[in-house]
Amino acid sequence: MYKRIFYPFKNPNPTQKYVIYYNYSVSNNAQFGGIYVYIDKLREKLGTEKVLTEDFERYVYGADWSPRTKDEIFPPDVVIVPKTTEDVAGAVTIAYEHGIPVTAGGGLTGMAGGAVPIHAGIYIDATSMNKIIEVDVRNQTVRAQGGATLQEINDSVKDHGLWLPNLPESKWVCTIGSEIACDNDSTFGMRYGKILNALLSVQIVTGTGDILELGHRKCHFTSSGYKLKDLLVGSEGTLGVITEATVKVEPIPDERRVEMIIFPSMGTAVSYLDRLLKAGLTVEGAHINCKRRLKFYTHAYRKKYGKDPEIPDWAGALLAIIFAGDKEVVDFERNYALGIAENMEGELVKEREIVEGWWISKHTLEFPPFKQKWPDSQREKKFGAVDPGIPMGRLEEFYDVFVKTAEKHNLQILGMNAYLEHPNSIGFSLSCALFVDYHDQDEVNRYRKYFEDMAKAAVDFEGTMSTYMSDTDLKVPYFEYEHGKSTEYMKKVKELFDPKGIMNPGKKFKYRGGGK
Amino acid sequence: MSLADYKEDVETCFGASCGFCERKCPVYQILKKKTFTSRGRNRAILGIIEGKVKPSAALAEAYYQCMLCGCCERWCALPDTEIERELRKYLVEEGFEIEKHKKNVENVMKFGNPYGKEDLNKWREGIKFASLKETDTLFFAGCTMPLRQPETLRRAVELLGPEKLAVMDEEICCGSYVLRTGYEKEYNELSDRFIKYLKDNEIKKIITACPGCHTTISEKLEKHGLEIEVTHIIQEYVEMLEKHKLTVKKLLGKATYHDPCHLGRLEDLIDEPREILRQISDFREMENHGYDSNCCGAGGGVRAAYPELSMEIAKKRIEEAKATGAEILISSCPFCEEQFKTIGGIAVMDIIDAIWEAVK
Ligand SMILES: Cc1cc2nc3c(=O)[nH]c(=O)nc-3n(C[C@H](O)[C@H](O)[C@H](O)COP(=O)(O)OP(=O)(O)OC[C@H]3O[C@@H](n4cnc5c(N)ncnc54)[C@H](O)[C@@H]3O)c2cc1C
Ligand code: SF4
Ligand code: SF4
Repeated sequence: MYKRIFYPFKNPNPTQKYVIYYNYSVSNNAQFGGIYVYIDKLREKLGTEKVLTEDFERYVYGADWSPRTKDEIFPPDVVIVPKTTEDVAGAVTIAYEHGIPVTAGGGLTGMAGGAVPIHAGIYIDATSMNKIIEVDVRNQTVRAQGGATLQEINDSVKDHGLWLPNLPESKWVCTIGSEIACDNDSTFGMRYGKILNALLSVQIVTGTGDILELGHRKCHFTSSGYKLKDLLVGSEGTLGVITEATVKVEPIPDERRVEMIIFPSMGTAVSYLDRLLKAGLTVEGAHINCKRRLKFYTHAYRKKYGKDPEIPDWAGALLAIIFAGDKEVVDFERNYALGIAENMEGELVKEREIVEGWWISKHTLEFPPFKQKWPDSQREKKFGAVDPGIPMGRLEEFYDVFVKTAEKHNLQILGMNAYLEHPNSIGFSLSCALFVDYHDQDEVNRYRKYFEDMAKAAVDFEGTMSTYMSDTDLKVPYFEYEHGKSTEYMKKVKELFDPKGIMNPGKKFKYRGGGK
Repeated sequence: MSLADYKEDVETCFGASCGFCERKCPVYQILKKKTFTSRGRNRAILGIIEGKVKPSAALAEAYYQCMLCGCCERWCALPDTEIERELRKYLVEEGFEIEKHKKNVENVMKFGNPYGKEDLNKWREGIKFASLKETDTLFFAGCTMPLRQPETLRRAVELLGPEKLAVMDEEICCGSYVLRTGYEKEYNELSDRFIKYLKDNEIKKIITACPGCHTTISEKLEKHGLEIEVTHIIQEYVEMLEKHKLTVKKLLGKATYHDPCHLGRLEDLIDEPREILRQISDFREMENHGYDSNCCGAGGGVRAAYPELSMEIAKKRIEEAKATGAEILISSCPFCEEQFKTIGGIAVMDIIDAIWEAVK
């Protein structure tokens, strides 16, 4: 293994210290037990190599992909890069003793600030724990450390003809720990659902430093005990740090066909999918884009043709639909589905470049060299979404709410997307997205007001505030709007795992302050 | 240019935070700290511009551990390696230098090469080159091949025909090492001399043997607006094969090719070596090749200053090569080859030697 070696530097200013350990942004926790003491203890326990305290090192970990201005970067006091569960347990034990906040993070691509250490303290960079522990081909399971990316998991099983299909676009960077902790959605949700459908067992380090295994080992389900494992899905690191997980993987289908069908409205597209399920078809993935939204996925098309694709005026929705399996089955299902579409005002998109451009953007990420879409698409303004869930029959109605709310806050609409995320059902999550100027604090604040209005509107629609981003600090002020009296029970659950309230404090619930 | 000129780019990176640069960064994949990625570096630069991060020796140490290989840029639309170079320039200006780099740059300025060696022209003994009156094509050997692969270099010009090529009496260093370690003043000094030489001698074409020289010279000419053709020797051989000026036979066994970053990803010279290798060997690709090729770990001054890290990266690349079942690992860069030879475990060959053996 590579060992870090220090080389002598020339510094013209000998009064300047080379290694500044306790520099700025000492958190308010200093008063509880003292930052200097706990950092020294971390070094002693984990070794200096795994404890990062330089300002430039901490600054990197102060923000994720959520809309925020650069003044809203919150560096932790110290970053640790653990290699083992014991490292994590050691760090959390010290944090528990001193009442120091602990925030775990993965790829830092979260959309709502879940991994941002808003109360400073210790940041655990779980991506340094990315080992694949076991691939059990016969039982189709993988055990990995919590910081393994979804891509790394897939790389470890692909030669066995297996894959983990619960994949967001960010799969190269998103870790299995994060996928569990923020409950993100998946491109292939209509067949395989979200991560809960694949999760068999999880190891966590609780807020006291205890190591617990929750779940049912390699078995697909259990009726024994309480399903504590399920509590971790969407827990955002507020109950503990996920250090290992066992997930089930699936056989890789031989063939895949991706199609796009235009419908007059998003509601017709939902009815169409319902009809396909009634017919007995298996759809691997389905994404209903409103017309505006498609533009966000046509980067590859624009690069090639220098213009946006032409979509007919009557189009209200573009359904991207995926079929996978043996070739004969895929061909049959596709043709059958297209036949039904014709009878339901659906029109197939014939220009393959549009479909393939979307697919590159959504899944393969095979962008031409040096031309991937993300940085440039976020240059002036960035993607900012809210992720409500609503009853399926009220999509059209909610679309109006989306447009009106964006207009009310004077924000530019990017578009709506309904992702089908429930296996073999038309249950969908929503992405109601805007372009947010993250250089402008006022606009970011207006986006947060929009976020609140939309989350509350979803509850008013008999739905839920969040379907794949979890709550983070954004929903804290109106958490009870959805959860009412059960909020108190949830707080008790948190207390059980995290008696001092140090695990990702300020997310879901208000931070109670230091531990003593 | 200054760091502040990249403000919009580093802010865009903060806005995107996609992390796509991490997956293939050879340094990050070993060290596993986000500071070592393009995202981490862009964030640190944002911090410096915003006055939230102070330049320090530790920061310099972190950001000199980057080969400028462009594996990150392949998956990003920002000029990440250009930004890294600007950061190094800034660090040098701020006085955060690495002893080893400083010494090597002094050597370049004094001896024309980072190794501090004097007699770089030994490889030319007995070869009869054209004079500058007879040709306007310059053959540029660089500093590393003359020292490490003199025989390969002799073969290279033999295949081309030395009577058609001129050489500088004493080569003026292209400045690759100096440029990539952040010494702008020294680099400009070398460049001015280099450009003056080209102008004075009315050079129309330069053939390079080393990928580092190739990119640096091309960049220099573009900056100075000089329309001089620069080719890498592989391009010359491909043309000769196409025109039947060179005929080869299949001679080598199972072989794979490592794209040097400067030639493949950065200069788009991807198909050419393969055209040759398919004719002379039982050729197979590594999983990561062409634009997606992994770095050997030598570039950007990493081998000089961080040898252990550098070797760790080379080892991974060798594993990839071996996984193809190849017996020979062929490349076209003296640095990459030196890396692989140091690790061992597979025969390593320069493409020039491979062609030399295959010529009928
Ligand atoms: C280019 C791009 C594409 C995206 N595509 C999608 C998409 O298709 N679908 C979608 O839903 N989202 C998408 N996202 C958003 C984001 O990628 C997901 O939310 C993803 O789950 C975040 O993963 P991460 O590893 O970056 O998590 P982070 O942002 O690092 O963390 C997310 C949450 O998990 C917690 N956490 C992380 N690791 C642990 C651990 N080991 N233990 C306990 N808690 C932990 C953090 O505290 C935080 O609350 C995308 C983002 C980007 C930038
Ligand atoms: S450097 Fe490029 S690829 Fe990496 S996070 Fe920034 S924008 Fe994304
Ligand atoms: S240039 Fe290479 S080593 Fe440097 S950050 Fe990019 S991928 Fe990593």
